[in-house]
Amino acid sequence: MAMPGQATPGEVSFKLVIVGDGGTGKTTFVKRHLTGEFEKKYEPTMGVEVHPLDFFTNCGRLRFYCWDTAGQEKFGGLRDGYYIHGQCAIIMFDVTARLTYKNVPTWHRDLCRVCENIPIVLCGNKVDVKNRQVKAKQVTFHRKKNLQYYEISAKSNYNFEKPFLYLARKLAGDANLHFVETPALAPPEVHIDLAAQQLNEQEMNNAAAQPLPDDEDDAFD
Amino acid sequence: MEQQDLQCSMQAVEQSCAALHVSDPGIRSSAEATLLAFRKSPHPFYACQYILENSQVATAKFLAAATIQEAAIREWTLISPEEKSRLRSYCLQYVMARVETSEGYILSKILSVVAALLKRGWLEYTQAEKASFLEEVEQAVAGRHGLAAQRFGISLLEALVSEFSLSTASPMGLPAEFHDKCRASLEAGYLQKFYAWAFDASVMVASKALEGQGENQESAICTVAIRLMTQILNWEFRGKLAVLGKSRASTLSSSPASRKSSEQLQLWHDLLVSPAKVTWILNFYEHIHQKGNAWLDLPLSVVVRQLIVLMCSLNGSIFPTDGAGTQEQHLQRLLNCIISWIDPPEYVISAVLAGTSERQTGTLSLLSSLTCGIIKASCVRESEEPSWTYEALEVLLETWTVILQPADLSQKVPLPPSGIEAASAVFQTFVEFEMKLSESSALDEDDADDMAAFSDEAREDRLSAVALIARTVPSVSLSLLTMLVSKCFSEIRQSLGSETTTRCLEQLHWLTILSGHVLADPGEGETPTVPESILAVSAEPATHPAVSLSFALIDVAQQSLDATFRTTLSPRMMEAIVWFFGRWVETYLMPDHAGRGPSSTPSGHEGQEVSVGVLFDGRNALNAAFGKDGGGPAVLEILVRVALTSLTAWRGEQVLQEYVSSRLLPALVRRRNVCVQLLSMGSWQELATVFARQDQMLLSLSDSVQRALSGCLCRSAQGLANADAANQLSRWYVKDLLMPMAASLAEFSGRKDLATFSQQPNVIHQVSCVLERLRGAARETIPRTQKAIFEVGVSIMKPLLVFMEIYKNQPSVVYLLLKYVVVWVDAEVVFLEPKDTTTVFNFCVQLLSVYSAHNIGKVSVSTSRSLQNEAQTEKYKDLRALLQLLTNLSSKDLFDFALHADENPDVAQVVYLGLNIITPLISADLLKYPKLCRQYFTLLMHMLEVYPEKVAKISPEGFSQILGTLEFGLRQQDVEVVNMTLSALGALGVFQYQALCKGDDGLGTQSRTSGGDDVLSHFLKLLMHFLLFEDYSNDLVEPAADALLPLILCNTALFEKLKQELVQRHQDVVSQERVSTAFHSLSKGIEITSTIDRSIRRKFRSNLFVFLNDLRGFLRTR
Repeated sequence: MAMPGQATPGEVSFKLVIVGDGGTGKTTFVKRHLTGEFEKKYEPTMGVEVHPLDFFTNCGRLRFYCWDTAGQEKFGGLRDGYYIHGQCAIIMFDVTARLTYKNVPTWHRDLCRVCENIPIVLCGNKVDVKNRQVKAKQVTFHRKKNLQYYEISAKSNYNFEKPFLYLARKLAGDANLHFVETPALAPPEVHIDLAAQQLNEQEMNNAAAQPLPDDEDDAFD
Repeated sequence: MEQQDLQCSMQAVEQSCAALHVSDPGIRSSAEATLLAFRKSPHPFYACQYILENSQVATAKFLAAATIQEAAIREWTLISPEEKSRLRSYCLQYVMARVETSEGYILSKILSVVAALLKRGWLEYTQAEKASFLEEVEQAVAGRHGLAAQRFGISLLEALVSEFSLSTASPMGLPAEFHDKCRASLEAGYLQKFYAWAFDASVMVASKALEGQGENQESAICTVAIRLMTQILNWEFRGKLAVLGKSRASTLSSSPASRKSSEQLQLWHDLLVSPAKVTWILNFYEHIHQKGNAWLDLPLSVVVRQLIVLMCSLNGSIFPTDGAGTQEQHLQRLLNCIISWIDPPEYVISAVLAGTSERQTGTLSLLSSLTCGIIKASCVRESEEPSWTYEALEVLLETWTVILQPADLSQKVPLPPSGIEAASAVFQTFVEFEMKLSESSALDEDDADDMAAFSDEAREDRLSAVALIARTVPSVSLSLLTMLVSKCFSEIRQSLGSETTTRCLEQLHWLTILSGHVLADPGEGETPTVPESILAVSAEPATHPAVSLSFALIDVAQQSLDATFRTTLSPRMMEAIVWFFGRWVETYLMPDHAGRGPSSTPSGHEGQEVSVGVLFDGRNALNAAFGKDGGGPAVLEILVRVALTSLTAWRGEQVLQEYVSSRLLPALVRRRNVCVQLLSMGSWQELATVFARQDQMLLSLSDSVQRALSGCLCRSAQGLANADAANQLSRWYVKDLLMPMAASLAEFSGRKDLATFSQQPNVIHQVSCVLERLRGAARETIPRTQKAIFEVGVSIMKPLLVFMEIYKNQPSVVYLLLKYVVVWVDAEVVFLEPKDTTTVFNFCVQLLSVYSAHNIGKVSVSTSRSLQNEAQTEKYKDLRALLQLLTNLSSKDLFDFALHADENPDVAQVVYLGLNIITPLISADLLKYPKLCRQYFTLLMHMLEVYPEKVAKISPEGFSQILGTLEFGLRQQDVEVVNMTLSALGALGVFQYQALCKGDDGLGTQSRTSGGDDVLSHFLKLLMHFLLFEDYSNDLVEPAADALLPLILCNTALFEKLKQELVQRHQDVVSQERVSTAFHSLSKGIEITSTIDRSIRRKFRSNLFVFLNDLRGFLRTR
């Protein structure tokens, strides 16, 4: 894995920092093509993990080195030490946990202190969950701070590429830049069963997306 | 420290910083560990300063700065005042000396360190100290030390405000009270000054800032200064100073303000709304505006716009109580400028945002033409979203919503005539635009439905906003919709099968959805009523606009019953129709309180004799059209037929059928008076008959549809006669519905060739189907159907046990079977007599035994690691169902606890058996799945609270398994899980403590682990560590207290030892004293008796709060 600074010449790449409280789904988001389980297990990230994500645009290939930082103070201590030289950022919160939204100002402040005037996207994750605590209308922080806001669902890929597209456009200074291929799926080890599961999940999600009572798990929610 | 040592530690830090960017995660994490250790090292200040001055590695300098902050906060009480002020001036001098050369982020970091240090000592400094420090800052901000210093002076203020604001404060290991005091102090004494300084600074550099390309030093200063101003306006003002409240809720209360705060108010007023100041800001932006597009996105332009938005949002008592005169002038001043920026349209968004609190007639017309303009513009620009028009429209609609439906309803004012005109124009333009859009998209090949998934919510918001506008002009909007629906529909009928049909269908589809939004609200738990404005329209029944629109759509629905015409309608169209009536029925069809109200006319003959010239109130018109004694039954008949047809004639249309079974039918059976009507109707009986005889037509429906349909049919029993006979009648009705199916299960299970017969696909399908239907029926159990559903359940107990055995290799059937039993037990358990309870319990025990006989060992720790394959998935789901079943069973106790203590079969025995079966299947890895985890701990907590003596007798392996999961539970992120774990631990502790007091065995040998350690002592240590050193929600302190007390009582010697250990950790006497005192306060007033009663618990809880307040921050930051 190459890292920023050691990038091959000619390659267009950016350091993207993903921040937000623990459990908001940052890791699931960057690894979204590897998740095929029917109910996502929760394993906290330790420190930081770096994932290269490639996107193919009408202006050629573009690589985001996504720095997935640990949300919990418990697990990773350096926090803003990782933001240095960040060229763009995603702040993630969980629309089903109000506290994660209340902490957005702190994440934003820490980011801006280290990286002045970089494009930032605010993402409200888990919009697939029925019991939302933070409604779309209550999300106003981005208006105060001139950020872009997207509702996403890392679990179901809903709006997955939107934050990347926005950042790519801002970074390239080209409002008409667009992706020419669906985002490249990550490296090998995608288990065949997982792929099938993923299909299943997709179907389940399609059904779940219909505004109907959750018949499958009604008794258990 | 020696020079050499400093050099060494710098090198170590530098190397680790470099290693952070290495790809090998191993190297990276060890680098991380080194850096963290450096940050935690005692008194690292000299090392940090050395790095800051000598290192060439920027990251290392950054980390050194962070370390100063962390260490200073941690060692605050140990550092001398001189050292503190030395550190602070060191940081400031460092910044001043390097403004030109160092990386911006390092300097910002150091400024934030200064801010944190200042805050930490804020309550200790004297006024004079603060004043002299701030005077220096003021000098810098005023530009006396040059541009660079000016810029960083402002940045320092920004860091201060950010540090003092509650939402962005850094943790300091101090109670929230400290942060709040600091906040209040800054708010009362300094914010105003900061704002004034920033304003003056920006005035000072403004003209230079506008020179060049907006990239000079002055422009940067101006940007930070104005950013600081917006930051201050965004401050969450509290108390008397809530003057700048941005929302209406936070305006100043009417209580008399003290003299000081009224002076403050006056000062704020002069700063923020005096014409000179406001005009300056507006003129400044005017200059930027004239610079053209290149300047629009500059940070400077962005912050000035932001500031103007905030100026527009000023509210409350910053304006004198002069009948809103000053506020009006203020807003007018702003609006005049803003309107001039609206052209070209790129300015629309910010301009309208600024206008949100303005409510003058002129504005409504402006708003209307803007909205219409944007709608039209989005027609022209077919670019992909998110386009600016999309966002602009969203903001504009939000503005409309705020005006038409203010949060405070008392502020709602009737629209002036020009406003009505404005609203009509918007609605008409919107409909026109959407009609065009539907027409053009009708023939699109690519299905946009993929993205429709969650954007449903956005669409829903938009439609609701438009519906709100439509409702302010009901006559216009409803008539327009009626006209368009009829027109589309007649075009469809004339142009069968052509492209026109497709286009018109698409339009009709959209019209149907919009009509649904305009006519009715979504119920969602409340009983929706007819919107007031629609009710207020007086008209004769035949011409009331709501009636006409409803009938136009009823007409469409009715035509769908025609087999030949049906082929013209798309399933998508039917979905919209069914969706519409699901919503409409609850509001309009045979309402419960029909005809009541002040304006109702006398019924009967008199009503008909009223001369034609007299206008009807809207309520009467609606009643006549859809009431019980009016046209209601006829409409109901049509709707039932539509439902039946949709289920049978549109085979395979899953979405449509789900709409029918989960929207339309539930809406029909929700109210009793509609059910009464339903049961007397031929069409409903027909549906019931087709269902009961397991007609293939209905059997092919999907699982969820089966359940919902079955539930609705059973639920309609509430419409049976309201007399004594009702229960008996309901019983017959439900048995008629369900018994045939139960009988077929019994028949299958008795077959001689069952082994082969049962494995045929169609048999599996039918069995599954029946199970789903029974589950649906059980889920909808109401008191009068309970007996029947119980009897049906009892009649299939034997067959179910047979199926459990025979389908052991068909996990999906096993799962359905378990789910049915879960729901059935849940529905029945509260009602059961002792005799019936025995039956149910015996059945459950048998079921569990059969299940475990086939499944034990199939899910194990080793194979469930990833739950990748499907079999594992099934087992996971089974396990959840089983946990649920046991929880449901154990809840029986809660209902009957006192009543039949002797007669009831032993719930504990059953659940104990179940626990024995389930415990070996649970692993830490499985518990990482949140839902399963919660269920497991719910059950465990209940068991330990109610039957600790049973749990104590579980096998040693099982018991240690349980203890292992408790330890796991304590480490969870999920507050609820931790809470339940604590309750379980507490219960265990209480049980043991009481046994000790009585001299009983208690946990007996279970209380020792294989290593010989005492189990409860282990948990005592764990819990103490958890409380003192880990992060958790404050809500957990109470349950933790309840768990801690019995654990301490069980082993006071150990507790004393733990206390000593904590005391010994400190070298100085003061700290030791502090720890001892805290421990003393923990046990204060706790009388030790053999029972732990409520008053002791309560006392201990409050003691624990005090204890943690005193000690936690102190211990953790050391």
